[in-house]
Amino acid sequence: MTVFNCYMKITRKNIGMIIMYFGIFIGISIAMLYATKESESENTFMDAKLSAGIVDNDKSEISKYMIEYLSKLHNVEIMEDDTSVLQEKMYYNKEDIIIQIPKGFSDNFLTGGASVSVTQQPGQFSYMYIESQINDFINRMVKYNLAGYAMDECFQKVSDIKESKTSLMDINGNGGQMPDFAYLFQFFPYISIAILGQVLGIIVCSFRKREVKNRIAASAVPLYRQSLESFLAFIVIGVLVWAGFVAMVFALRGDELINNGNMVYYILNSFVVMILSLSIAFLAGTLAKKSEMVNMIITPISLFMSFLGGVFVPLSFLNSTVRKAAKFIPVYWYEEINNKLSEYAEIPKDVIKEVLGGMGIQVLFTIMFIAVTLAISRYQRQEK
Amino acid sequence: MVKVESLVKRYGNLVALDHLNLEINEGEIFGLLGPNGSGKTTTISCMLALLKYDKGNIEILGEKIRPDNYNVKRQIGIVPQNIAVFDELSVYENIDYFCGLYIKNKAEKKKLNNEAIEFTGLEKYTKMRPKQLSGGLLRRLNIACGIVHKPKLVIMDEPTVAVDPQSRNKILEGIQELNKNGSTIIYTSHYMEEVEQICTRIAIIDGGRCIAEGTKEELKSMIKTGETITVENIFISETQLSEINTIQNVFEVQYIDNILVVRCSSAKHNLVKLMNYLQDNDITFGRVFSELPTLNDVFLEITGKKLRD
Repeated sequence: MTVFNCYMKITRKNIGMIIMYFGIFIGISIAMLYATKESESENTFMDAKLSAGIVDNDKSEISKYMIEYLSKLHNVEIMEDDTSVLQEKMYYNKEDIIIQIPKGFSDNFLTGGASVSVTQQPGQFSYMYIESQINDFINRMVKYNLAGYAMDECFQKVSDIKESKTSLMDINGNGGQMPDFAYLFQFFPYISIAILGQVLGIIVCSFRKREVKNRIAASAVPLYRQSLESFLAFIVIGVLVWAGFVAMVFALRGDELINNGNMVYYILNSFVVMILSLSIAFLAGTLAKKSEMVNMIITPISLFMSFLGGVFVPLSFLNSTVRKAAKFIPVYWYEEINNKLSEYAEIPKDVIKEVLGGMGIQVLFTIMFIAVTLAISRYQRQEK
Repeated sequence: MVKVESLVKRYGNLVALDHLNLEINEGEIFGLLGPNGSGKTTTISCMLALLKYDKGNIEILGEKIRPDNYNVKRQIGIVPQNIAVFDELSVYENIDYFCGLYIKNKAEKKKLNNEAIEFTGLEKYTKMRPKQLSGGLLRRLNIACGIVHKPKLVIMDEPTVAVDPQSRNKILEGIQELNKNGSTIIYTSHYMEEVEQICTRIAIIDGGRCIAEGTKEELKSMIKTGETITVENIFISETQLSEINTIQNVFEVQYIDNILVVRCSSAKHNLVKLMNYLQDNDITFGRVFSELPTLNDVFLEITGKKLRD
């Protein structure tokens, strides 16, 4: 296993660089997770109660029902009709809104002409919210009353309806949010291409140096064995990096991942992109004439694929033209699958086909990279 | 040990080796001398089965060399012209790696690694990476990687290119010691002094053909030049030049920039005869040198080309 051991030795020499990339990954991931948490309120619905001061100048049965109704929805304070007190309450932000029920409110109620006066803090739009609730109350009370119900029955019915709640379907089990571990998986193509491309690219380049190649070819190790050991080393190093990444995801968000029905697909998808990274490393090592050139090839490839493929910028942020172009980048398909998986707590059968198709496209890209590399390698041999 | 029979290798229309014949015996340091593009490296590549040849036959240690003849390959060590080591590995790791291509036993490998390190004088540098080594040390590492498994046949392709004189001497001494320890060596170079210094037999190849083969003495005896006399700061006329050309054993006279070069065939008293002529004609002159023929003269006379063209 001389050739295999040589791969391992050179990889160990690059352990600092590997740790650095993983460190960057952890740093970015943690920063992203915090950023996501902070912005969650922008994307979710939340019950909100206003502080409403109510001046009841009508003091009728209906006005009392309305106050009771609003009390269930907001923090209501009954106030006297004293302009200076009301102004003071508004000035010191003690109330968000002042509702004044005018005298004769109940008289106009059944004719549909009842209205209230609403005063609110400047720059706020909560009055629209509360006005809509008042209108809703009045309309429904009128309708029930016209249907022949007594006022107390009308109020009972309106209150019952209000208590019924709408429940949202949580398809992805995370309130519509992308799960944290999916964010971590999102970054894998970058670190996979960067680490494997650098480490294996340098090794491939070293082994391809004409003199080293000739010296090995003239040795007592059969060519098929050299190829076999190189292949094995590629797979082992790839799997180690991939396993390291998956272990990190488990360490950071393992509880969420285990409980997710798509765990296997997330892991399988990352494995496929690791294999793809190996083919890119093979290509970079073949193209580079010196090991210093590997970095010059891998850095732009990894960044280009990551930016356009949706690693750093979510695919939804890219415009349609860029997205169309990105389809020619294998990382795009990885991120498509990652996004698709994050939409479901457990992926439906009809979507599995789509997910496996995306992985198949990545495999096709891998085969294409290997074929291109072999063609370049053959051309280089003929040139010599 | 090595038998090359009527070897032909073509690169398209270019004939790199044209029915080349060589025979190298066990225990020899065999010099393969030739200018750039003469076919030295192609010959070596064919011997190592790195290149397919069009015609002919190569036998090493009594067996025909093929890419899959690992028994024979196990007995061969190669020291290529350019440094063939891994920049990412240390000196020790490089030697260990190339040893591992031949030797599987760990204890034996360790012993051989240490012997190769000691042999090439790299003890102080085992942990350093190739990029930290000087040109001479790099060459020594290149040699250590080629000989670490103690091969019976060592093929060295210009191992002293771009090396300082001190390191070169160390390398040449090492090669002689290697030979004394039982290895047969094929040494290619276009440095004639080196070949003269260490090789027991020499083949001169040019245009893919072996044009002369033998010991140094045998090669020198093949040419007309027996002595070259150089006289500096001399002023002579055309008539005197013609008269010098008629002195016994003189067959060529050159007079350029007040320097006279006289080539004589191998005979006694050539210098005395020339000095007598100069004194008799009251011709003043500066320093005088008399040189016996070198391999360069041999090469020049046989091929009509300078070796380092």
